[in-house]
Amino acid sequence: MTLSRNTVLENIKTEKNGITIEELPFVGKINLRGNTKDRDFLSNAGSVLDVLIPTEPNKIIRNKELQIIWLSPNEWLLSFLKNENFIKIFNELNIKLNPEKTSITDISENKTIIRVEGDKTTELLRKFMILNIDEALEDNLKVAQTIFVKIPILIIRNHLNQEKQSFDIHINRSHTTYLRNLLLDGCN
Amino acid sequence: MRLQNNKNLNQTKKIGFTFDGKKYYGFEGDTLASALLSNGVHLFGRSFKYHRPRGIISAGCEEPNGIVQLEINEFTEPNRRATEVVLYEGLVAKSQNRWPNLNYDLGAINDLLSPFFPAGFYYKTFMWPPKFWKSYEYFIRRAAGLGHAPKKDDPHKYEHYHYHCDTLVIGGGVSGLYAAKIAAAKNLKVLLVEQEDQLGGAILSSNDHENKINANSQTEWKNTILDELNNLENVKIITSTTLFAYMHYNYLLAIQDLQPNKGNDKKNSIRQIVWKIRAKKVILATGSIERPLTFNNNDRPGIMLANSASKYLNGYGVNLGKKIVIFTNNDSAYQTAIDFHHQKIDITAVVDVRNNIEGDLPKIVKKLGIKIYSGSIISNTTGRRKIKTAHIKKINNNNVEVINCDLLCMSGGWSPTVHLFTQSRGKLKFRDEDSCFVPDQAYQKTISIGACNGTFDLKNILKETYTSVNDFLNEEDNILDGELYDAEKINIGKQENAWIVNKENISKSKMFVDFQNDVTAKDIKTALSEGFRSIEHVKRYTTNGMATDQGKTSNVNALGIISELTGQDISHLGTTTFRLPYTPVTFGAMAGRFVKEFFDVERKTPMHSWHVDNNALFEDVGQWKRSWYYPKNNESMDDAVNREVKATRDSLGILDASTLGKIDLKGRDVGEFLNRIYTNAWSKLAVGKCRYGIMLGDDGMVIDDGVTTRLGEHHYLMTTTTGNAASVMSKLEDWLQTEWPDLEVYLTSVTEQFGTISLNGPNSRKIVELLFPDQDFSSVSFPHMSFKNLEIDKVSCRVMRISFTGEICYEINIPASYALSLWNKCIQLGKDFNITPYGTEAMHVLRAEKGYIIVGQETDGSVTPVDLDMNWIVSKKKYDFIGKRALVRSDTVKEDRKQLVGILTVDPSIVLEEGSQLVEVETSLPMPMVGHITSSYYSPNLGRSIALALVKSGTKKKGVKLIVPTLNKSVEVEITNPVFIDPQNERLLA
Repeated sequence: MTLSRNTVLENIKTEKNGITIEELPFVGKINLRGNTKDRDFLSNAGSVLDVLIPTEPNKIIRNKELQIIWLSPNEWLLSFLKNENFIKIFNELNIKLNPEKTSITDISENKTIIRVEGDKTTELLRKFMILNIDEALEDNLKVAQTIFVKIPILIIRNHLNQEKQSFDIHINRSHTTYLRNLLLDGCN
Repeated sequence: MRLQNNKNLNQTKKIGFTFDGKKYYGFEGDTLASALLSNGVHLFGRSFKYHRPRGIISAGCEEPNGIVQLEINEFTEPNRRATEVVLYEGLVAKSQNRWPNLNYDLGAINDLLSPFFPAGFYYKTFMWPPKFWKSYEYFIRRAAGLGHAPKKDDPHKYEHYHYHCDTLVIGGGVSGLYAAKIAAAKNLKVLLVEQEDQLGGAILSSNDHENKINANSQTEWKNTILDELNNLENVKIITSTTLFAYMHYNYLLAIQDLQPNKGNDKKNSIRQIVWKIRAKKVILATGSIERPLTFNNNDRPGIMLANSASKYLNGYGVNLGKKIVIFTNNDSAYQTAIDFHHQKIDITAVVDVRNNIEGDLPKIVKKLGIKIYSGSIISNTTGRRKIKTAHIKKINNNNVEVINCDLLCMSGGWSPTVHLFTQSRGKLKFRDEDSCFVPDQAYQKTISIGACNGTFDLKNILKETYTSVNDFLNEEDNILDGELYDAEKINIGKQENAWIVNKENISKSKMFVDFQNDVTAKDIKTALSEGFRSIEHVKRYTTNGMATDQGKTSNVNALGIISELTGQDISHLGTTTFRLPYTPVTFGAMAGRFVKEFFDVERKTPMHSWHVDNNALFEDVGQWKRSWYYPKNNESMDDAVNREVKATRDSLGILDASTLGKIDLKGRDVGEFLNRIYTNAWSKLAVGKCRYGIMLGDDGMVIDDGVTTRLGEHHYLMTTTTGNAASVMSKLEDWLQTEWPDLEVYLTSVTEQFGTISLNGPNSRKIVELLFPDQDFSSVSFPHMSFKNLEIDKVSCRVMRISFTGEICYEINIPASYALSLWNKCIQLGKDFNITPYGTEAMHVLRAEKGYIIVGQETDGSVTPVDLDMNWIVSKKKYDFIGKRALVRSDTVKEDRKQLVGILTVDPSIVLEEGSQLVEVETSLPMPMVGHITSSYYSPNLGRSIALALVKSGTKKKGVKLIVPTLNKSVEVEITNPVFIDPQNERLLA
């Protein structure tokens, strides 16, 4: 009996009243910690990732491989758009960065990503989030760490102004079913 | 027959409804109150205490009498104000507080017995004779309350909605609409909230002949403004929405009634939305509420507030009467006379308490030929179910003229609606010339405009709004946005206070102050004479202002009466505290969607579906759903737990331990960090080894425990208890960031990165050998408290040999998406060994048999490691650790501290209650307690009960017998070693 992987949700994609709620399963994620005053850290991380990590609060940088998301002055989330190079990048970071002064942790399974799309997505999210979405996520270069009901989440805006609204919610794996069911209920 | 000249109705759309079983018709735009009044219904209910016949007195949320039971069965709601219920097809309403019916109510006998029910009579029933209260109680409780709560689940849904704006305007009357227009012109994001279903405020009660704005009628002006606002993207308008709470930081709550016409059409429709609004600035344009006058029998059906009569007339086309009398102490009620005149309805008389009547409005009324009785009062009225006569007399003259009357409109002045302003912590001041409280100092970013600011005439309202709103909203410039509007100046005569219209008869008359709670002026006098002087005490003793209308028409009148009776200046009396909600809010609205399956957040492990499929019952551990036990074949809980515990010790048990907190620690100084936060030493922990640690607070008391594993040179994994995972992580970050920023340590929560499978029992080794065939699991190669990185089907796992049961145990941590699959594999491979899933209940028994503590069970924030007989874990060599100093305080080293011991009942079949007290000798109460039971179970492995306890000087009392007093008997127990099974750890270390 070979081990198999399970998504969190049985039905990973559901649609209701023009809103789509989808689990993006098995996305590679790395939690990166380091001191931005350490030039070696910045330049080594940048060379592995092929882009400078953002130092502006709540900013997201995207390249073809991954999203690099600022979480705090010394913490970033690397979320892989394609998993092919996950191991390679994870190992390179471990090699190039000083293990005494940095932390590189595989948290691929720690959080699930729920993508919510549809023209009324913002209205749906306002039922559950205190965040001022218009201000905090005014464009797709911003992210926010906030509370969805009582659940801590990271929310990323994907869409440009005229496009269909699309948000990615990073949430604790264990909270995913509750969040999805609540969103569906809110689609009424 | 409706007057055609009305503002609110669509008379092409007829709506049928039922009141007290009888069918009526109204029109689209009607409220229940206006529709009933138009059908000649003036009797709406019976008053709370005296069961007096009562009718509508107002047209808004201040209504005290017209409260009805709306709808039936699961849709029913008590105490809905008929003045606020928007009529819809099929509406069903019933009057309240009467039996057998509204016209003939047996409770009316209370009116005759009213001398026995003055204010405070209820409290006096407690005093003497005290034994009789149990008899009174039954009847008093039956009589209490108005209306009936539903007995079935509410089928509706309720929503919450978060909204941010630059400017929130509360109130859609003249000043509110104007303010919204000015704010919009400044490109601000504006939200305008109006409690009625239509915008306009006082415009809805006024006629369109007078009081024009820039030569347009008020209705035309309103429609123009609305057209503009509705076309602006930065303006949102919501109606049927009452702003009910103004809290800190300009955070406000409003409740919106959705589609009131169709509110009960179908189940699961959204009935109400609570808007959670965060505004940078707030403009209060909430208007004002007219006050009644306090005179004898001022509560009869057909007596109403003058401006409300205008609203029914102009807004709803309801002709309320033919013999109309107006009673007033100020100019505003004269407008009502003018309104009736415009509708070609005669006014019999205007009765004015003032001798000098100088304003423009009285002059117009006089020119219309309406008779005015100056310096006069209404001393009494007659008419049980509807007013029939009004008794007019000159002040200081006993001659009474009795005139026929079927509608009496009264006005005692106006109270600015300052409730939200005071909720926002704004301070009020009393303005003598208008006898009202007005906003003084604001505490938050808010202003009041219009009538709620004490500005009552239209010309000044327009001017004030233009300058105040521009000034308030301008940040960097002084640009005056918005058009400047103007209205005709009207000279307003001075108002004259008439708090108690005929004071000399106060004790012999029924002058109602609070209509809903049947509080009279005499009751207030009684309270004062019994020593209640503060307005807060008078309120509570008389219950004035404590009904569902929250004293909107009675609070200021009560203050005025107290002022008059005591001679105190009303401005020194202050007001009672206005608390949220401004109007009653349903429980459904407060709950929103968070009912039933959404009541609380749920967290599930990767193996949750397997537990469900295998009949597990669940226990809530924080937000986690943990499997509690797995009953088979209708087993009781005890039988299931005993089976699980026995099977684990005999052979093999499997536990889902995924919920335990896991913190990944990396960095140069992790070892030093662990030294500081744990009581024991960590510097020499080798890579691949695990160590148990106890964490203390600054006070030396145990706050958490767990096993930490060294995964690499600068890499550790800490576990915490399930319930403390987040708080421990938070504390660790707190210390790192605030106390030890020099330490190179990074913490990352990985609680959910892994699913954790705990295999326990003598056959656990056999399973892991099957899972990892290339690994040597002998005790030499894989000793207790060690760890290895292994792979299964090319998936990396961390396997720890640590135990919470006292049996050989392997904890496999695998990436969470594989955990269910691995669990299934373990179940499959374990069949030959009777692998038995066990839940938290069996886990508790197994660890208690071994004497292992649970933080939060054996500890309660007042227990040190030494108390737990764990002196061995407190390092004597470390320079410092959190809590070290506190461990040498006199209190923490004293001899008779409670210490952890085992407890065995002399009768082995008795299982003690957790929390039971332990005493040395049974004496009469109170018995000195020497300890308490922290954990208690039946042990199937020992065939008897066991318990853990904290007992004073317990470790020195092994063998001593104590007593556990219970309700029915005393249970004799003996103090023992807390380790009941395998004290030499032979099974554990095998």
